[in-house]
Amino acid sequence: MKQHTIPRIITKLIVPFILLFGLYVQFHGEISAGGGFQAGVIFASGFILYNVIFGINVGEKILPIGLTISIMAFGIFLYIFVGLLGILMGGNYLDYNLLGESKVQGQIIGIFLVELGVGITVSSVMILIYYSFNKFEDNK
Amino acid sequence: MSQIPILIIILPLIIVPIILLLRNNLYSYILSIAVSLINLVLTILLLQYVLKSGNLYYELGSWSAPIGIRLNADLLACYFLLLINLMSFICLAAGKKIIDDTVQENNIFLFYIAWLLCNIGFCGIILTDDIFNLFVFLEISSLSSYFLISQGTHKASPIAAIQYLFIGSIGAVFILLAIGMLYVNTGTLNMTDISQSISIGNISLPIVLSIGLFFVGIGIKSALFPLHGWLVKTYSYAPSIVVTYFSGTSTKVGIYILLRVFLDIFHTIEPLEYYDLASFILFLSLLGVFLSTFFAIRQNEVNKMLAYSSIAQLSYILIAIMLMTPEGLSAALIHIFNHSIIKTGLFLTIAVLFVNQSNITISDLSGYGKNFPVLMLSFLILILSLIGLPLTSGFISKWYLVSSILDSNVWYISIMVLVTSFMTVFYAWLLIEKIYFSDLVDSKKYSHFEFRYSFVILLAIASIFLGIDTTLTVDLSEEISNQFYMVLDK
Repeated sequence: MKQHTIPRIITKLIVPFILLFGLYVQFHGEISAGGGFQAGVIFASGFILYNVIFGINVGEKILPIGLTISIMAFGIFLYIFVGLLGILMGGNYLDYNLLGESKVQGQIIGIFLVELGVGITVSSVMILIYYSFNKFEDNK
Repeated sequence: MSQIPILIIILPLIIVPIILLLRNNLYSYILSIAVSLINLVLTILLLQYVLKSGNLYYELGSWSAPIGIRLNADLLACYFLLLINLMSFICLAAGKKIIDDTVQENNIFLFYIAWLLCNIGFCGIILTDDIFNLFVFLEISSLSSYFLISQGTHKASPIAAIQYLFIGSIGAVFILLAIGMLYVNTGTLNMTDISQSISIGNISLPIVLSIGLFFVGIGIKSALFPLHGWLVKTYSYAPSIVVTYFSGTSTKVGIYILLRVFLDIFHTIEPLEYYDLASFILFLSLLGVFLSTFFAIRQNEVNKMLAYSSIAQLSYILIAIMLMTPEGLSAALIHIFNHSIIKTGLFLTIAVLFVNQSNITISDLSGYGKNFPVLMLSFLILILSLIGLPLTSGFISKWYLVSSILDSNVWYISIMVLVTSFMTVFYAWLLIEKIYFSDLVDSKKYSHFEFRYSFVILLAIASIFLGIDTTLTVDLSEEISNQFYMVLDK
């Protein structure tokens, strides 16, 4: 894509906005449309777009496969950990009410952390799927 | 105590990312076997609790039932949970060397992850009280089982996995559509809530569609006779230990969904009787018993023979359910447990003997009776149990099956059951004849006793034990079926 100036410039311009929009959907998921899953996909799509335009190996310098897998596992841990906190505090699994001082605060903390876990896992899974397609091309 | 239902699902789910981070084959084995043992213990505790103090409901996030998601551990769920977790533990305990030899070195830790996810899926299907969650867990178990099947050493095993993927996805789509139709009509996804909001007076088109779609989807998942094609392919090309695990669990979970949907969710409109589905399935199953027993006799490969035999036994279970009497349901539940133990034992024998070979023909077993006396004695006991010889668990199943058929208004079916039981002797004899009355083909093949053989012996002992002491299977099954039909009569 070296000789294609327009896609390169446009990508450089819009990738920060895509990533920012992903974060917006992530952190406003409980009051507007969206949530962890959608945010993860949007965030990963910005990353993948950059990879497609600037060469497929650029991304692996920032996010090596091993690190991406660890991040993915971290997202799952975050989700399960928040769920288990409810049990440890004497409620049921995923009981957010007990996490904060009041019920509302607890719900906000709980949803925020769980959706963060979902977002992290989904975006790293999307990036890993992209990487594995790359590897598939290399093996040929 | 009240946290047990969620722990059965969550504990393996914590282990999965740990295995992913460790990427060590030995540690992943130790973790998986430990968590499946813990699951088995938890299931037994749960069963005791439910027997003592009735159904255990678990509300996730403390949101109450129709709005929140709920787990429902009733006696039927505990019975199936015990079966699933027992089989998973036995297969993992016996299967270390088999997995190491079969699966590629780099994929072994992924294999354990897929195994645990598959087990989570089965446990989730059984425990959930939310019909959409049932679909999600069904997908979790199916997706991981496609991976498990594709890991076989035979070159056709990826193809078998793809074929199962296609047919399994079609089944899952039918079930999803059926759930959608139900949701359109009732506006709720909670099973208890759905069964209360539909009644025989207001059956609308979406509900009829939903019943039809459930019927086909579940038929695929539980290998109902004309939809059984994937089972034979899968059982002959998947890794031997996966076949061992699936023979006792996968199709049984399909039957669990059938019971849950048609006898629990739709119990107010009795679709099996109302639309004559019962007699239709009865007809298909009878055809299935006859034809698959016939095919089993003609097979040359042991795995295919046992796969056709599985279809025949599943058809017996469906026949018993479709009698629509409490005795029939309890006969089906007894046979589900006994058949799982018998078939897992038979497949496990093949798996421990021919670790990573595929296409094992009957003549490969020639003369094994002399070289593996204890192992082959267990195999013989399990085969006799499959035929239904007295003092084995198979006899108990057949006894209750035939007596429940004689008590119902379709007594003539019992003749078919007895004839096909007798036909079982033919293919069992093919195996016994090769094992005990033929000369050894490969005289070098002699091995001393190994630890993994003891699990086959354990299953054979279990089969005899369940044939003598029937407290676990018969009493529990009768209690479950009484509960079900008490609800139906109301």
